Amino acid sequence: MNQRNQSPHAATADDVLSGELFKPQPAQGSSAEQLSRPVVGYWKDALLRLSKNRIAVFSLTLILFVALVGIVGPFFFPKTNDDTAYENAQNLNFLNQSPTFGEKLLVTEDSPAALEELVKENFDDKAPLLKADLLKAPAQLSVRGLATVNGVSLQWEPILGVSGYQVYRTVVAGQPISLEDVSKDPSVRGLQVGTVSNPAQYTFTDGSGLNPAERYIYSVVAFVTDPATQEELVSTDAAALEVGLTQTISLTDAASLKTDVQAGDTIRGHKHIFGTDALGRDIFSRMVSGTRIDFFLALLVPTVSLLFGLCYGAISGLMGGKVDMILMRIVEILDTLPELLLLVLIQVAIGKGVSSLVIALCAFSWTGYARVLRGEVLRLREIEFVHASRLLGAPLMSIIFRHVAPNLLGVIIVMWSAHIPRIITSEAFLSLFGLGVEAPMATWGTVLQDAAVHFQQYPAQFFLPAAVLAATLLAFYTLGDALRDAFDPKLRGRD
Amino acid sequence: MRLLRFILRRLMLAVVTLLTLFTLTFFLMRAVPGDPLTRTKEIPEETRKNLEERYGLDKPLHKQYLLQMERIFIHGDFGTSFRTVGREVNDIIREQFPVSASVGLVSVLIGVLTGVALGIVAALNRNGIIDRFAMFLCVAGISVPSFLFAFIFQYCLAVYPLTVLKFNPDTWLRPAGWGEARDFVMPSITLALGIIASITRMLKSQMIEVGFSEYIKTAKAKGVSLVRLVVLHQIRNAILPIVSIIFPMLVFTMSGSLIIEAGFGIPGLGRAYMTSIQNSDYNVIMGLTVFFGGFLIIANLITDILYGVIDPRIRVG
Amino acid sequence: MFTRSALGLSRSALTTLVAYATLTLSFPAFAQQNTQADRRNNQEIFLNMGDEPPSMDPNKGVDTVSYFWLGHLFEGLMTTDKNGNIVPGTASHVAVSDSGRTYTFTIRPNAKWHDGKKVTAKDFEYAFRRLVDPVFASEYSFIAVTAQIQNAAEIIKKKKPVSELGAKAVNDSTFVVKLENPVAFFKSLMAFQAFFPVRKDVVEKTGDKFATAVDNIVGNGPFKLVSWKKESSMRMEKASTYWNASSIKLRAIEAPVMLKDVGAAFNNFRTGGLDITGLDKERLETAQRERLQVKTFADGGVFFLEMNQREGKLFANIKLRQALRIAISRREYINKVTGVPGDKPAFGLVPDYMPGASKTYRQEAALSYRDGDVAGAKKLIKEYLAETKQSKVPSFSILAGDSNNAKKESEYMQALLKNVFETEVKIDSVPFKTRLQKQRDGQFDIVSGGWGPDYLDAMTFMDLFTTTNDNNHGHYVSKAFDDLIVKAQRSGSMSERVKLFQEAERLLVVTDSAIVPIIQRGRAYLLAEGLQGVRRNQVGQDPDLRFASWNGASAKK
Repeated sequence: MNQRNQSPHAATADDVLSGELFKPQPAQGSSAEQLSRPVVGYWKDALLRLSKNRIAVFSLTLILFVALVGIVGPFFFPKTNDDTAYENAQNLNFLNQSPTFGEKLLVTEDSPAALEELVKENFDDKAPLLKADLLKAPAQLSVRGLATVNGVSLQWEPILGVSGYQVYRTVVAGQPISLEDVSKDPSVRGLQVGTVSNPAQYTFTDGSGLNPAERYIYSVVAFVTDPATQEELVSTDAAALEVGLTQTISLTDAASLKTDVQAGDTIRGHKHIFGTDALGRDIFSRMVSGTRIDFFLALLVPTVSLLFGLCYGAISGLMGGKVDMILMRIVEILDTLPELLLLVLIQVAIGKGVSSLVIALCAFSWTGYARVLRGEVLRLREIEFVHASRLLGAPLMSIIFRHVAPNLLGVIIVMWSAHIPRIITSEAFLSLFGLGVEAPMATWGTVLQDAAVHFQQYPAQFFLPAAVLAATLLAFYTLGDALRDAFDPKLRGRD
Repeated sequence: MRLLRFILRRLMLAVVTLLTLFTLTFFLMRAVPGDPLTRTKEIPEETRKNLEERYGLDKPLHKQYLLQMERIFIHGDFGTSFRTVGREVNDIIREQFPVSASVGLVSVLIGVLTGVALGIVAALNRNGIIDRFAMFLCVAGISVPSFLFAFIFQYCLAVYPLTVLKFNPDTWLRPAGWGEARDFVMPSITLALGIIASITRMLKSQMIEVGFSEYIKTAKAKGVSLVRLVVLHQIRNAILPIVSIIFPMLVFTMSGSLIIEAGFGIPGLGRAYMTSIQNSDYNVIMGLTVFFGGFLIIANLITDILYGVIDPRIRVG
Repeated sequence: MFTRSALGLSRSALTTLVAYATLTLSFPAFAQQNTQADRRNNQEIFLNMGDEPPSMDPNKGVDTVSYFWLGHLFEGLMTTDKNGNIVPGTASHVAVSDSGRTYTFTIRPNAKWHDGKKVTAKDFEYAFRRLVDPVFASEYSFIAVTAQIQNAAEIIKKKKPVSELGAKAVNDSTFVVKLENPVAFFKSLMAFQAFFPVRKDVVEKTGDKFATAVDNIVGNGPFKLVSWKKESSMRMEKASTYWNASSIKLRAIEAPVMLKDVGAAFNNFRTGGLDITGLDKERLETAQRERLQVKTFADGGVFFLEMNQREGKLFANIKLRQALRIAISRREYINKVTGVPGDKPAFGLVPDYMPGASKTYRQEAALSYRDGDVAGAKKLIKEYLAETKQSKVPSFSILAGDSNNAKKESEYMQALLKNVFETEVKIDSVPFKTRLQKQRDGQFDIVSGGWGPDYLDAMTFMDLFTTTNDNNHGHYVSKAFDDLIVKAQRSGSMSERVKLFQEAERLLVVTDSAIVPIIQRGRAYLLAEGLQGVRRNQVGQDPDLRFASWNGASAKK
């Protein structure tokens, strides 16, 4: 009942079925074998489904983009003065810079004469030592010359009857602080950057670990040394002074950036879109050149493992019997070993470098391929269409290339593509432990390792490269997933 | 009977595996230049000879190999550390393994519970917001290495709140340290992310797989209520394979937390391993490798047996 | 049905959890709340020593971490006061014979072990004998040879029995040490950990387990070990048995964590979990922004480049070595690469703090220097090329460790030397032990070496580069240098020794340029406000907290 109601051709009382309505279809001969819609082969189907997956396409584009930047990028690096590669060129005036599109720099002479420390002449250094409570802060604290990352030179009025001066330095940034605080409170004067133990010397030059982006407060106190206990007694007040640094560039370096410059000009420095590292190297260029090594490893290691695993698996699968058993036991044994621990041990044993990295990474990753491919070979050997093909007299080669290989390829591509991001991760992991490639070669892992040391102080140094790493890994995994889905016909139509 | 034969065969293989591991480790260690007696300040020749004698390092390599093999596999004694005087490797394992194990266990617990919940919700809410979020979390959790998360968490969960927001350091999370319950939080979450990701993914695909199966269709056709259908038929069947991967996951988590332990100051075995490698501490390296190897083997064995018990379709042997 | 199985599942998980919880019983025991304010009131100090002490056996301990603990748990015949002067310790009195070859120590009657027993001369005799015993094979046995204790060298070589050692207990309170030659710094050696007393009965009772757990350590120092959780925490408390207990203000010293990572320790400090912790360059600015109290000190180490002078090696050529010496700019290296304000340039091998006859050694023995003279270096290299008829310096490599700092420093050196020598410079960066082994085997061209003093005398540095010394990795061979050192070893007069050392140092560093000194290492550290009397040492336990205390008045937070 139900069915009749739903039928589009539900009979009504007026309709009469007659024989005219039923004519035999003329025979169509060979065209009956033709498919009405275009043939979609295994590969085409996979590609088609892959291209429909928007995220996968996006991932692929991202990977290709990163690869392209890695290949082409180094050709656009700025020239260095000698034959050092740009990513390895150190600039000790620009350590740990935040990302910048070019700082304004004052051009200076190539080697400005270093400021000599000055000692007051005719100074009575035999004067009796002052009592500790009579000690005062040195007067007229000021900066000599230009304060740069290469040195801040201070001068003050020497005091009669002291043993010397102590110079302190702290930063303006951070918790609020005033010159008054620094002058009164010894606990906030910061780091003691030097001691002048000649009371007649009235200058001091500090250059240790200065950061051009920072503003500093310098303070100077006088002290007397108790001759009996050797204790240093310090004046309660300090002379304090705020100092900002001028960023400079030498004439030679400036000339490579811009023609026709002279000392005293202000020009824009190099762009460092990821900032610079602890040796003043451009992090972006290190990432770009690292891309080459990482991608090289990520393509080579899975390929080598694959080829070895394929041979091993095929031999095992085709030979069968005892050989198969022994070979597979070996794989099982290798699979059970604690991979991570041995990876570290192997790297330590065979030393650093790209080639030893390839060996260490391959040592454990071929077994997966061998196991799966052996299984596939066994399965395909017994599968019906291979039997059919054989019965129909197809030559062995044709069976292998027409039936076995294409069916293996799907599995291979899926495994291979899933292997790539794992290699990139392993490289970064080993680098973080100081293993990996030889210095000063840059890889993503070494860039991260260099930045990890001080990631809380210079988070951009760590997180920008980390973001690149994470995004690339994400893209590889997404693409790998999409490939797996695309090559798995069982999933068709479910999504 | 069949099970017994299976276990016996696996045990034999386990012995061979352990011996292989032992041999590999022994010769890899010896291939590294420097030995446990290499110090920044050279030990005078006479003292060195005395020490070598004391530790048996003066014997020919094959003798050392056999002696150590006998000591480990027959007497179950891993020897003492060369670096920390008088410290037995067995003690190191006894004291530091529980630390690694507890972190691993808590991580797996968090990971499995969250992963199962997320997987079920994601499967039921296919292509919805939760599903998309869960799937993003999955890919991120699998692809982004855990050491990156360690850095992020340490900064965002501890350093920033403590130094900028001025949270109370006595009660809030410590950036690094060990000994209190709160010290579990960051390392466990870090390690759990990867577990959550894989469990969610696996469970979701299992749920969908089961959803297409004949017995669900049958149940649906028979008019089983939706709640009953999902809870009794779908989830129950989908969750079974998850059980089998929990144990290997636990082992993997424990052995794979090298960087996590260093970064969070956890006195676990991973840290001991890295120290021993740095110091060519032969006995500790060997002890920990063999221990982890044995642990992995047993874990695999249990998993295989478990699989057989849970899934009657799979016949052991 | 589902609920039941779910319960079953979680129950089994629960059982496992409980099983593990019992396994991990050791673990939350330390969870007592102990804030910085509490510590201030209780006179307790929390610090991070970074690592587990490798050995708590005084005769064996070889590194700074061990020494820190041992220096507080034990006390030698001599010790240091709060200004670092050598004063009588467990011995109340010391008499030196006119020849300077016999030292007679009188043990304090009120010197006691932590378990209440009296410290006797026999305990010292046992410890001294144990130190040189070839069966025991202490790595520090050489220090007995340095101290020139009679027959020490022969006993170590197994040529004489242990009982022949020239250190004997005459009775319970008199301990006599006989020397082969007078040793100018012998008293300061007696404060060294290798010469701390050891209890025979404890060693014999515990055997190989001696000093491996709280119960197996009995000390005689101002503090007593009360807890030791391997790889995680240690704590010692003031010992009431100590003869000078009234001078000790601190009630307890604890390492609540053992963090190798400076950053992690820094985070714990700024959140109030530690009172003293080391600081590296990377965290210096952050520490200052947060107005934490930053201090610096010289840790005693001197770092230098060693060049391989074995035959056929590139740096067997003296011109190249001299070029290297003058080319390096120590100022730039310190300011830009190491960046720790406590670092000082080193132009000689002996550091600035080393005492001389009346002033410091360096004030009495000045040394000429040249720094960052690239042009001068290039001139020397040209001469070398002309002499050897080459057009280019052959490529060479720098052997370096694999730590972050070693990596950065060697990368800097690489860039610098590449510029100076105009050739390819490689870095052979290897793990710690591998570096040491390669250094030993002479598989390097240049390696950055360093040395920390074992005792407070220039000899601890100067005898490194004699022909037969194992630490002379570059194989510097100079008869003249060896002779000067032997003369200094036999001399009891400090002013004569300073002259000999000066001549030897000039030969080593300037004339032959066998090594290139670079820095005298400084270190920055953070100290909680109000903590006083913390002493940092180049030799001896560092930090020395025996005279430390909290100053209640300046507590601000």
